[in-house]
Amino acid sequence: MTFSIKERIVKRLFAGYKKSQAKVHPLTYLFWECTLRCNLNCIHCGSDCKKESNIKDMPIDDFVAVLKNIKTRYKASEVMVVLTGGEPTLRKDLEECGHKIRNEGFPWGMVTNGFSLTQESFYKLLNAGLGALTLSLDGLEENHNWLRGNKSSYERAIKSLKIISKAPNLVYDVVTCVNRRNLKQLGEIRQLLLNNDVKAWRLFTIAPIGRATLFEDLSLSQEEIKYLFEFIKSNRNDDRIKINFSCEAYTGEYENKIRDGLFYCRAGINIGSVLADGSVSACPNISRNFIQGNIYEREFTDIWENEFNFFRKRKWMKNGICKNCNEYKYCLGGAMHLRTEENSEILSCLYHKMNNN
Amino acid sequence: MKKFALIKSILLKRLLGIFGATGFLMIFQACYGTPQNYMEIIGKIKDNETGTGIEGIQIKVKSDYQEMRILSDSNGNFTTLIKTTGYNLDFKIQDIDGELNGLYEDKDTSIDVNGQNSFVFKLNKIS
Repeated sequence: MTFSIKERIVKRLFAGYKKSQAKVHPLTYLFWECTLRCNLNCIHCGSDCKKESNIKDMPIDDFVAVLKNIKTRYKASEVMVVLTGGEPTLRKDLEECGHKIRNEGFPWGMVTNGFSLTQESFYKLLNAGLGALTLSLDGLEENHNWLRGNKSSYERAIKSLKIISKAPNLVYDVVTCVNRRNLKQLGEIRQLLLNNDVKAWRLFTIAPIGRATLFEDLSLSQEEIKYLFEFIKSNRNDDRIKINFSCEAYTGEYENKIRDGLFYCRAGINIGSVLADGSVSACPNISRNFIQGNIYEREFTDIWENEFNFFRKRKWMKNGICKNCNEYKYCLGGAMHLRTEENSEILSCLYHKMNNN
Repeated sequence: MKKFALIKSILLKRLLGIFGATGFLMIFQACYGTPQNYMEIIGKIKDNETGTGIEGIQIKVKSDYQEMRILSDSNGNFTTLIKTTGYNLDFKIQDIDGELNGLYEDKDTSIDVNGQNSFVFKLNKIS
């Protein structure tokens, strides 16, 4: 693996930038797990969500209290609020939630499976300040429906895609979880997205967490990972659609060739979350063993400023396959959602998988 | 300690900018989250009569979330990223270098962008 001098300098500078950011840890991205209910039954669900949840949806006013607290330390306009779940559109008061978040001055977006979005509900959300959206499309019809556990989920997602793609002011992308079944269909999926005027497409692999651990078809082999990265690399020059690999893992020689930025897990550094039960963590798919507090017991900013040590001091992650890895200084032990608890080893590493048989 | 780290962070960000790597630092996307609603604005400032680009014009662009301030380059071009709901942008265009690149009238305008991210502004020269 060889890097140009410029690449090496950028990687070094970026490693220094990451260290300083961990110390400053400015909150710029806040997830709100606004419900744990979901209308699909995805076999790769990292949250293991169900149609009905034992945990009731958090009242919007409780979340607004968190936002008011955040405003005592941060400019609202500089913190992006992202509604996730479960499936956010199952909240009957979603429009009201949007208005209230917007009225506090926060930009907000939403991650959705598109199953229950309608033209009318979409317009209402836009009027409530929806500024960014991510829609899941996990393949052509058969594979999408298989992964999503619902025979009409593809049809509904495409219907939503047609609605979303006609909104000129919305920043949105389509995400696809790449697995063994849809890997060789990526060219066709790309064409489908082009036909629907999609401008941004983000590709994931599936992490072995939640229900995804039960299905072997979801995990890519060494050759398949390389195939995916080469596909992205060779299609990134097309101005019609911007293709990015998600920021889920360090990719060695493919860094900066398959996505706009270098790998950087910002969980607990720039990214925080308020989970459905009031727990405070970083990204919602991170193990519940890393919960740092609860908004019903302490103020969010108190937790953000005084906890999160495991996220900001990651030397403990230099264990297992990371221990003697030469790239550790750049990846700092990978993404937090791939650790189950403090001092645990990484569940999987794409870089390691690519470079070791 | 935190102040020192903040200064270091800003300096490194600037250094990365020299290598053309600032965009991703600003507009990162959490791996399971949405994109941030930044919009890339590309524009040009032209002389209304000759159509040539004007250097050194200050462009203040304001969205409902933030205000950015930039200067046009030697060809009159400018570019920036701004956080926005994507509906309305206010532009305040000012000649701030006096007669250095010619003296031009100021311009204030509000634009309903509707998906547009490329803008051309023509300024009248003050003779």
